[in-house]
Amino acid sequence: MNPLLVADCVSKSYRGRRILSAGSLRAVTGEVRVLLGRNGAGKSTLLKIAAGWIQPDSGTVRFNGTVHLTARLPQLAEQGLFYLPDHDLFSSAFSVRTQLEMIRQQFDGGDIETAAASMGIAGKLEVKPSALSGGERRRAELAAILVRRPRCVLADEPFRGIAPKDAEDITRALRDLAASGTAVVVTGHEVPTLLAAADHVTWCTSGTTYELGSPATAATHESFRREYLGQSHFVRASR
Amino acid sequence: MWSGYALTIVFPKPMRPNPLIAQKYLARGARLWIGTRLLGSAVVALAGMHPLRLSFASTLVIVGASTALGLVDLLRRHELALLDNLGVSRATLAVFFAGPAIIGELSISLAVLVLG
Repeated sequence: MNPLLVADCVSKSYRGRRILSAGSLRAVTGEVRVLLGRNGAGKSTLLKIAAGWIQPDSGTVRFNGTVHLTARLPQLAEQGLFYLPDHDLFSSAFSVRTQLEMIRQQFDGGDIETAAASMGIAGKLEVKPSALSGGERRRAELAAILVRRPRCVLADEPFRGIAPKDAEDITRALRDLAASGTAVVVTGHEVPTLLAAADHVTWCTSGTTYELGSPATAATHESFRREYLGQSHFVRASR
Repeated sequence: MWSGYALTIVFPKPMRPNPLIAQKYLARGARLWIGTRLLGSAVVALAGMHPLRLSFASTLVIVGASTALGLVDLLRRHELALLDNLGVSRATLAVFFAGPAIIGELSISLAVLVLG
């Protein structure tokens, strides 16, 4: 299947330090793809470039058949992309309901009550995001995605710092999104959680990316196991 | 088989923000302009001049300052991710903050002109 979004052969340097030299990322309709790699490997940078949040030094972003030499998130968002950053998405100035209502009105989105109930935050709609716990904020952000009904979601570390129950619910929501035809790409360091949710693994290392295939196939990749997963994963996998 | 892309240059038209977004950010722009104008008028009054009769350059400074404060406030509140996901461009955001300031300054100039 043709990918909905492709960040092709992108490079990026910060203050003379090269983060990415030739990284590529694909988001495919109906699939949850996970982007794994060590801290500083360039996962977040690649995701931000693919979302049009930052500009690459070279390379292109193609979304929905249109090649963007300078992709901008507002343009991509209009065409159906949703970028979930690694920091808070919501403003501290407005209630959760107001912000979900902004999304609903802007894109003729889904029902707010249904989305909130589905993510277990129905009782938290009237409060400001600053009054929510980290897990509740992430649930509220997932509710925003459900209201938005995007064609493609890029989520940067959605599982960071949340309880296992919240991680379980977010995994379910991401899988449901993919099942409904959304292309999903997720980064993070929670390897068991991410591999359980994934259809496809992309490994980001040394400034470039490797398409490893399904989680089962990725687990047999020698370098990926040796350099990223580590010895303990061998032991767990072999039990 | 070659399957290339037809080259089409597209100049994207910014997405129009819905009334709820416009209302919230225009209201914030108005509050920021009022604060900036009060401060500017106070400084002018302390200098012994008429607080409502500002020069054109001072008016431009007030419009520029309230717009800049609005954009800084967006950064401070980490609102750019939400607004970008809503398809609201930076140019539209600048209009949200400059618009109330321009209208306010024009209204004051008109009032000063009419009332003498």
